[in-house]
Amino acid sequence: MSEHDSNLEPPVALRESLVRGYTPPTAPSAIDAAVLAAARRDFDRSRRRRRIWLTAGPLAAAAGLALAVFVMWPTTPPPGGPRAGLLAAGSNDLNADGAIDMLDALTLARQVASGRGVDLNGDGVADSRDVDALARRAVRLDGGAS
Amino acid sequence: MSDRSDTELLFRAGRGDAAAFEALYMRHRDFVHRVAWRFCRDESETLDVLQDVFSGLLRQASRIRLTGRLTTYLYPAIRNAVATRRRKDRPLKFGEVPERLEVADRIPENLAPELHAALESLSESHREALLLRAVDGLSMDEIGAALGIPSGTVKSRLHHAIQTLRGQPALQRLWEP
Repeated sequence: MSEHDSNLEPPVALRESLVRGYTPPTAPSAIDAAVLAAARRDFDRSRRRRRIWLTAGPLAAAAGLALAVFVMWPTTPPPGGPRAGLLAAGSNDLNADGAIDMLDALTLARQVASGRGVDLNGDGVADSRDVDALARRAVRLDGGAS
Repeated sequence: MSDRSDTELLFRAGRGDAAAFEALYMRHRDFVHRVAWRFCRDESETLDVLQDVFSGLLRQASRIRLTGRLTTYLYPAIRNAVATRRRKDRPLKFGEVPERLEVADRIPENLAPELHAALESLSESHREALLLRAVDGLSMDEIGAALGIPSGTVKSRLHHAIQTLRGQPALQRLWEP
């Protein structure tokens, strides 16, 4: 069966009768005005929304970023690990040479070995973990400044 | 605008071009009006459906991916709009499961009685294929796309509808040259 098969083509007279019978009464022109006015309102609303987003979007993003920085800042662990934050509370310059370096870690290791160590990481005991924490602190990129 | 394809106009309308939407409306208003009238009980309901269909088109314009003429999208949209209106007219009772609402066409009373009777003898799907071809001028592929069926099925339905009408002695004059 092809597209133009005569068995698939309604004869002209049948077409005309059907078109006449199925043609609705003319729609009032007010309906065109109503549909097109509604469309124009919708387009205007979308344009306004786009404009608001273009203006307020960057501001909202900046505010969000500022809020995120504010919320994250105090709880962000320093690069030395979560416990290194506790070290910041004290001076940690155990050999009192004006800098926190591996010599302080060595000093602490000796103190721990002799049972006079300081609990720097706040876990309740003075042991090799405190030495490790201080050593990590000493090799931080900021030079271990407290 | 009037020389642009439906696809291009729809794309532009989806990006907020009011003139493109207006061109689409003017191009397809009569089709939507005619088909809506076929399914509706009265002129007022027809006009409501016309507005529903075009406001739906406006909302969906940026998401519709047209593969042919817009009529293939509009035809099911009209049926859905009619079904939605009928559903609103009959609110569900608490706990009632909504049934799939069939939208039946309405054979106009102003047809010749023998043609009216012959159309009534056809099943709705055969009549639908015949009307989309004879009244709306859609191609087989477009009818298939509008109804969501293969064009082979369209041809078979159309063939059956035409042969049924041709077999009616009272309609023989329609086949005379």
